[in-house]
Amino acid sequence: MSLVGKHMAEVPLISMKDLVFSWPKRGGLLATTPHPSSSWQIRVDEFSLAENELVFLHGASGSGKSTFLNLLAGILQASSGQIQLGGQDLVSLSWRQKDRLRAHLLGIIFQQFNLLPFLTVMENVLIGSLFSSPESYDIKKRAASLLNSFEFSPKFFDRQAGKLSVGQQQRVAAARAFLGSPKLILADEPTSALDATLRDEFMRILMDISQDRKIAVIMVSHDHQLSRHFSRVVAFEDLITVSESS
Amino acid sequence: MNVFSLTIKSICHRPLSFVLTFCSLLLSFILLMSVSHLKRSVPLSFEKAISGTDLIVGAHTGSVSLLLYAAFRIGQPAANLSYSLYEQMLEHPEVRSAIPISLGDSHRGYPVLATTQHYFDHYQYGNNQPLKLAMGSRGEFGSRLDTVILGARVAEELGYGLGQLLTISHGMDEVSFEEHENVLFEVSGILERTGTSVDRSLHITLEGLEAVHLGWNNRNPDKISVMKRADMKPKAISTLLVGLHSKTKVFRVQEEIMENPGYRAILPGVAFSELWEVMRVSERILGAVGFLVVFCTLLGMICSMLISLVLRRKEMAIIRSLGGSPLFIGAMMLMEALSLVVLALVVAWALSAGLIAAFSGVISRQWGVYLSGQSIWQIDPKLMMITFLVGLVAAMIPAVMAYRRSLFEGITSF
Repeated sequence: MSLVGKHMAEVPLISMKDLVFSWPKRGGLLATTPHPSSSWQIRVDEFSLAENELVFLHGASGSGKSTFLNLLAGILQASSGQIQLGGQDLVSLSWRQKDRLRAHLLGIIFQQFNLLPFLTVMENVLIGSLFSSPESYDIKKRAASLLNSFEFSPKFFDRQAGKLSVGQQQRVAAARAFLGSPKLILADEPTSALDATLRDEFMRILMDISQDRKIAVIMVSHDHQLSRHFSRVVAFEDLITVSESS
Repeated sequence: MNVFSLTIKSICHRPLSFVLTFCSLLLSFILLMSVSHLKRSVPLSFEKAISGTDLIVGAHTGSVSLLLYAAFRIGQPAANLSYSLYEQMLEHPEVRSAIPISLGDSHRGYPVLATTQHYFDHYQYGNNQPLKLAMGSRGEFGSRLDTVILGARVAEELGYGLGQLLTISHGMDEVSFEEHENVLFEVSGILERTGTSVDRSLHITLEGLEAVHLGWNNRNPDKISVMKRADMKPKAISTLLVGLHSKTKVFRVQEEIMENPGYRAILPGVAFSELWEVMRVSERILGAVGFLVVFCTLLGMICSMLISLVLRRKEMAIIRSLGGSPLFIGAMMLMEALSLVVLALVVAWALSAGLIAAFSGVISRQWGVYLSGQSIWQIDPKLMMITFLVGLVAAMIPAVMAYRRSLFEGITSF
């Protein structure tokens, strides 16, 4: 299966080439986590994603899934190679520029605990606008509309996020991911905490909205049943090489 | 929504840890501020106790104990002075004023000071301020043996007014087993508040004190006439406050007095310096203990915030995923720690002022140190600034850790 997107004639939304990332060795008084003396390195030879493309990634634990998503989101800095997001070279951008790019181009949905429990449903959706600074004055209307799309009635808007069920939390997180009109949704095992009914319901809404708004989706999951929603399926083993470097 | 409201909401989500950290900071700041206030108030209280006095004369003893005794009614005199010394000083050409003082008796724990009219004419405190009557008159003081003029605090705390009758007792304890019930003193005046030990003193005449100890009785009219006024002339006094026409003569007069080997004459300023030398060590120790407590509490705050960093990894990851920068996360942590420090500082300032106001009466009665009500609300800006800066440095540590963690840690590693 080709790792290159199907619309290569157009400028791809994501383009990775000869990308190498090594976990930095860190230590000292202010070290936040212990690190082994050797470091791990991952390599991505080539990967691209067209606009509005739906890609399903699957792989075993330790296959470099989290690192890959962090590189895509501009959270981690590649050691070498190139990675372009929306035509911008992530390797050459400053941390501040990458944060801004992420706020404008990406929507991210985690496995679970996606919400800040001390905020209400509406505040959790609106918090994204804190960093994307959208010029629209009707941001609350858009948030309400998105929540409606994810089947929340207004009576839920002021409910504390910590009091929602896991399924409801995932839907709020998805609504938040769409708020800033992103070009790409990164979803990291978003249905793993849901039962089959909730999972199907969640996927139906997610895919409908993303297709309706022409937003690309990269979803990482162990659940192969989800692959039917996507136009391309990629195995991590084919995408990433993980090796230990001394 | 902004970084501030987000921080406040995050704090409100963890009220217990915030309140506990706040309480420990608050207690340590109260301790530090109270110690600082005492350190500032005690010297002020001491220095304003007496002015316009060039020499304090007493029986041969240490200068500090003589000063404490004469100016603050603390301690006991080693021996008495002859009353004739007072008479000599009155005649001395260099002497502007001589105030005899006898102590040793009390009323309900407040010291009774026996003196003459000169006390009210010449005694000065603060910036050479004279004593003034708030109520009554001192016309009868000296002419009548059984009149008493009260310090402001005595009148206020015991609820005494003009015409109040009272007896005095032997010794300086609050409860005495030897009550001089033979003489009933009548309150003829109440002094204005001075903020010195005068406020907690009862003033009677030297003759009145002598009469009490000679057994004169004004409760039984028959006995009054038995003794003549001349019999009541005092033979000894405890101490003598001397003011000179010219300060340049102070050493000469001091030498003259000390020619009598049983007498000691001290310069109040020099004695105050000696007193501060003695007090400075304990003052420094107190200050150091206060700062150590604050330091330990701030370390505790850092620890609790570092632990909360681990628990709040998800919160940070969500903010990062939304485009929040590591600086934003660091700012949130900094704001949380700073809000703890600033809130604790402000509340501690108000509470320590309240505590000092509440206990100043007890402190004044127990140790003779008058804590001025005005200075309670004066913040020591240097102390506040140092405490704030130390708190700021402490707040930076979890903020920097949060910044580094969010810079290096991914958003999906959970």
